[in-house]
Amino acid sequence: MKRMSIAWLSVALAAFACLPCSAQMRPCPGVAGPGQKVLIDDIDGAQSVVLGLLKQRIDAGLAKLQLETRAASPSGAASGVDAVRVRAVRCSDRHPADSAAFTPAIARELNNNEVVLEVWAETAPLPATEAPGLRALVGYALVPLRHYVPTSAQGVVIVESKASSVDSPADLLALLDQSGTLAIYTAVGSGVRLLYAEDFDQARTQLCLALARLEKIRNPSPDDADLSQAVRDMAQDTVRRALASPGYHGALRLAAPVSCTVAPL
Amino acid sequence: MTGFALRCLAAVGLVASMTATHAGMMNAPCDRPVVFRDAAVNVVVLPFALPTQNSRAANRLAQLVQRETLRSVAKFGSVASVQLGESDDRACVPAEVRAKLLGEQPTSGDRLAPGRAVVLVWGRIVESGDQLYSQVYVDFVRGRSTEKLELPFGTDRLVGPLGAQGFAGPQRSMDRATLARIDDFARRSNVLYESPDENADRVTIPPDVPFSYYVTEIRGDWMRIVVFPGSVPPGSVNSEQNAFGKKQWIRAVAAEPEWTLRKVWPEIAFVEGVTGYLVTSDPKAAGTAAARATMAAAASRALDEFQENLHSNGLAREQESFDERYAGARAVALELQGALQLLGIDRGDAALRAARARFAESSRLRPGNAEARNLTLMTDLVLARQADSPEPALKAADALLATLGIAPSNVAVQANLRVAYRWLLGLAGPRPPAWRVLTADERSHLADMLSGLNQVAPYRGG
Repeated sequence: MKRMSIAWLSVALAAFACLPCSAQMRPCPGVAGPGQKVLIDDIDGAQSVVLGLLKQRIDAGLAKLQLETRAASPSGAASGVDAVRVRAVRCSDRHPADSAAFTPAIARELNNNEVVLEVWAETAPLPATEAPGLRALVGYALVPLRHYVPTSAQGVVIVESKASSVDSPADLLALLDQSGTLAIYTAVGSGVRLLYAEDFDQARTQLCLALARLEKIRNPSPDDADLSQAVRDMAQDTVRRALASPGYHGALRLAAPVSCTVAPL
Repeated sequence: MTGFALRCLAAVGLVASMTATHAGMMNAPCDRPVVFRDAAVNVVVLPFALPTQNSRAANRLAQLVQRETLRSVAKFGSVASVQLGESDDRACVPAEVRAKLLGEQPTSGDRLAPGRAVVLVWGRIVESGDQLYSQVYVDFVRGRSTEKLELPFGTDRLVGPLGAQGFAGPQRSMDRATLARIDDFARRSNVLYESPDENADRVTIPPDVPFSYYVTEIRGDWMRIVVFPGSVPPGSVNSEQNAFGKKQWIRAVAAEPEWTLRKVWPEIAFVEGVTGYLVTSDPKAAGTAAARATMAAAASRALDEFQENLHSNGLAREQESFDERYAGARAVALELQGALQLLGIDRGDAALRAARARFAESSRLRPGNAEARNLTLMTDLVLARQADSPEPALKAADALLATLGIAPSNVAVQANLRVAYRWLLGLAGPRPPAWRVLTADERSHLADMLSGLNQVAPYRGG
């Protein structure tokens, strides 16, 4: 009885402690329901050519992700295709301020709802101390990584670009191209989630897929390099955990791979 | 297109006999999608979303794409093309149309017949400041199954699904003048002529009225069609009952000196190629071996054109960092071209090597993709039978095992590896007599791996 009281008290305190941080972001009504999801928050900021372009780049990236990773058969069971099956959920009036918005409580709630990635974006004028122009920002919360490895710096990635003029918004947004990035972060989020659910085979598939895409990036940023290393480590950890698990009888026992890098054909 | 004339069908007699070939339909509503059930492949074109929310203009663009597509795929025989329009200002949702056609969602419209294929095409044009950007999407499916290549191997078969069955084309900048010219062309070309001549007597097809048609002749850039109201059962229509009397000719190619639709949207050539692939690989639809070879060659040429136009229309003007946007589209085209090489009777070494080159290129474009590697290694295994030693086959089996290391639950890779081990051990037909005998260690290793593979079981967490 005493233990239960303490447990209830802990829950109440945790809920109370989280009220202020939860209040920073409006809940997303469509987040419940089965299946892995990518949340797309409202994109807003200074009205500009860049804002419109940013919105449609993210939409295009999402459409590409869904179309090119869709299994042909509805069940996907009969196919050999390794698809990440994700559903996009639009969240209106939801604007994470920065990585701090993804508190442990929020990350846990999102993870429980099978959210593998949350994306938000905004544009804003450059500060007065800088030349006239715009700043465009895209944020990615890799929810399972944020939840299971809260110390990881890659749990929330914010990509920012500045332009001193808006003469060539396409050039500005080339740096923020969403079509490849969205697929990479979705695969990472999905892979981490599957790893902690002990679905080792699917986790390995998604993590190796993400790593192959990360390694294809030309001129990777330090953040990209850090994420690559983190994914590489998790892909290896997947094999170690699978082999250490007595109930595991999957193909990793045969291949016993270490690296995700396979020789080109 | 001068000099190109293809008489598809006799223009006489009951149209009932043509229900599966070269049929078209326009302005059918998206919420009740229709298809020609007897056609091996239906190409379904959805409205192009425009920044102005102008559903008539959106439908006009889709009609241009639909006609040009039908004209280009008519040579493949049992094909049809349908243009679906927005109804009551309700947007067309491609995933819903697909689900209805496949019978995954209830519909009062049509469903695909078992084993029949559909190619969905849609696009969107968005604006940002003075600039427009266009993007075209293509999705294809046969029945409710995955497209796969099968190669006989010993007493077994190697199986390889395609890596993807759709793609989002790259976003391309497009100037407003070009879009205006295309729309103007679309307005002018929604017209039926008494003869294939711009100066002949004509009548404008009323917008928004659903109607079906059959192509009875193709002459250069023109199609001769029999038009009938959408509500009339196709089998009851006589070619002389054309709704517009003697006016039966329509422009089927959208091109002017400044632009051609196929260069503005290279995906149209992809649609031609994938339709050719789907017809050629349909055992019910394809004709003689010679006809299949001709169709396969035509389909592959269209896929070449698609990739060339992708390059000239995209890469040349875009930054290198955008390469990823092209990888999916190119990889699908390459895998289809590889499969086309192996659809004919001739599965000799030359065809296998040509197919392998396409699959390997797809694998390079998508390095973490197990399907492209699997397809490549299938051809390696078949080619290895001609080698004078077992080393190439052993190497291919090792590479399949490595692929399993990055995609352990991939059932096709597992199955092919099992087939390879069985064959190497002499359990699935004779090995080439000239090969050296496998060492005891090699045999033991292969037997252990085969035994392990046979014990692989799905694991979804403890």
